[in-house]
Amino acid sequence: MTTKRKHPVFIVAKNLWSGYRISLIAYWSIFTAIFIGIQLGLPIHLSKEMEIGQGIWSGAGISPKLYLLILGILLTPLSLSSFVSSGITRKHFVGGAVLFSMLMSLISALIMTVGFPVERLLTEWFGGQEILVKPLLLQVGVEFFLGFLGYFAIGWMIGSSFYRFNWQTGIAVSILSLIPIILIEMVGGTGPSELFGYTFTMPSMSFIVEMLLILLIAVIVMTINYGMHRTVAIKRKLI
Amino acid sequence: MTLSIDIKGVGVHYGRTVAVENVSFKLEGNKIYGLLGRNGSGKTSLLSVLASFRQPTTGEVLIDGKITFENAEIMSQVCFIQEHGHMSDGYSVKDAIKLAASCWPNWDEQYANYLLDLYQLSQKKRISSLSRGMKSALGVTIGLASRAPITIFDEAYLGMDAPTRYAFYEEVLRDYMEHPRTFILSTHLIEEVGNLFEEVLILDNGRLLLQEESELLRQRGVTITGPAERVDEYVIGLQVLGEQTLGRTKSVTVYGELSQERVNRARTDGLELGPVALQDLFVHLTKKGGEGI
Amino acid sequence: MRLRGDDVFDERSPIYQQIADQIKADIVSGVLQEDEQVMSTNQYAAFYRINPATAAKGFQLLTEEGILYKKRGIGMFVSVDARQTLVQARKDRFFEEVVDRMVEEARQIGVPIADILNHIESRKEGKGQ
Repeated sequence: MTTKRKHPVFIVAKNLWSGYRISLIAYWSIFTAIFIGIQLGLPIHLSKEMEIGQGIWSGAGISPKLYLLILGILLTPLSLSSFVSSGITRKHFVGGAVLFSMLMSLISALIMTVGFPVERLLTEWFGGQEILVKPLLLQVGVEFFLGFLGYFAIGWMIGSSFYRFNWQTGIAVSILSLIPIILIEMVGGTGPSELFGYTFTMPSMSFIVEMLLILLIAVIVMTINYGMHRTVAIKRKLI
Repeated sequence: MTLSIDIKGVGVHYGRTVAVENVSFKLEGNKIYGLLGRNGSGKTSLLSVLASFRQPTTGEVLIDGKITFENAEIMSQVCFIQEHGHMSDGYSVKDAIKLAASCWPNWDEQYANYLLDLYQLSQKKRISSLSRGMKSALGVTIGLASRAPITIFDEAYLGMDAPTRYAFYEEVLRDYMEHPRTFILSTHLIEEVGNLFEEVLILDNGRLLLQEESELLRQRGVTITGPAERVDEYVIGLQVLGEQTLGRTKSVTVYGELSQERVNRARTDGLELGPVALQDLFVHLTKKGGEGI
Repeated sequence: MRLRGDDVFDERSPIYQQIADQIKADIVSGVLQEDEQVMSTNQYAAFYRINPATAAKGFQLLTEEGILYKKRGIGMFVSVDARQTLVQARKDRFFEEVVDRMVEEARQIGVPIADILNHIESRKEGKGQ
């Protein structure tokens, strides 16, 4: 009498996706609307004087990172109990959540990447001149994807630590999570990256090594997250 | 499919607080079990462990002979409902039903819709905006429609008014007969549900006081009423749970089956033997400071 | 309104015993005829809101006493001589449980046996009450 059903990992991923896709669509709609607004309002001669080589879009990446960080923080406190009480193991929840985070990061990375040619198109439309550099879209896409994934994983780690342990531990983990954030920014950022006024510079590495390093950070954080979920007790109310 | 439950020396500790201590029992399955206990007796902790919501601090929980914790095959067969079933407060009723429907292998959509109608649950409402009774009704809907081979309701009737509670009991019984499976109902409203149980387990102070077929348990309790001195003499050697005196008449509740000889003696002594309601038996057995059995 | 179940069963004897007694009473009064099918345990359980195992226990009691018999796959039926057996059993118990007790009670409160006989005679002639 057991009906055929999907693997629990996909059940989790699908349910998370259907729960958060509205939020994702809303976020990106508002985000792009703001940028198009800025584009339209920005006088072209001013941008020429300032010699903006990279456009404003390239500086926009931090916002989706924070958005995904917050989604990550909320993930376990909001959803773990619902799934485990529906007979899903913690392991499968983590699996589904990883899949979900990859999907969210992928979509966000795609939008960010597509944003560059669109921005150039808009600038040319209004200014008629090519003033923006052309980034390598594939590289940009991969870098955004891994960066987003890393931020999501770190947010998830913070949320999980609040769920798993007490609030003191949660705060400690929140502070410690700056370490992987700094690492990701140092490795991924081309040139110096700034944080709290400090400037970090990394010796330049090949792109592939950089990406592998970010991936490694994301994988390590995800592994820690799995560790925190493995034997966690289901709580009644957290928030 | 019958899934047996085997609890072996299970303890649940929260830091220094011991909620459940060295509890062992076996349930053969496909019955309606009653788990009785006063508030704080460890019912919820025990059931949480049974449903893999938490790991036992000591001991083992086996279902179908397998360790349950993080066992995907077992966990998808055990549905544990407390109020609205741990669903996120931000969910709408529809979201919660959708999630449950995609997770439970035996989910019966038609039955879920029938129950939603029965309890007049609006799909659009957010769980946070539901009254306590409505949250309970949602939990009951999910628990019953899951058709999980092991379905556990932990005081699932909280906030429900009497007619709704009785509708719940009737639904459990009806669906149990149509789709035999294991039900475990934890409760302290024994008078209302007592007749539904085939077997009863009583927890007291984190320990298992007894596990008994409910009909046998009912027969175990006897009240002896008559002149005080004759009653006192009669109950020597019997396990006395409680006594009441009215003037020179005394009524004593004893636990344990009376031999035919004792029954005859009561008649010749002019003492009246009476039954004890399950609820009274439970109250006597778990009385504070009582020695239990 | 009192809820079903509450008013049907008192706590004086086990529920399955009461179910058995009720079926017996129905047979004696003729509500249930010989060879007639009785309600299933599930129907009993649903009607009285009790566990079907409890109802089944009552049926088992009656099968052991030869009051009911089972047709495999169909259900439980009233035995051919069930009514006769029950009536006979009640007759047997009548003197022990009713007459003997009455006499004992009469002795305690000082009613002479002759008065009882007179009373019965008067009832027999239809002058009672």
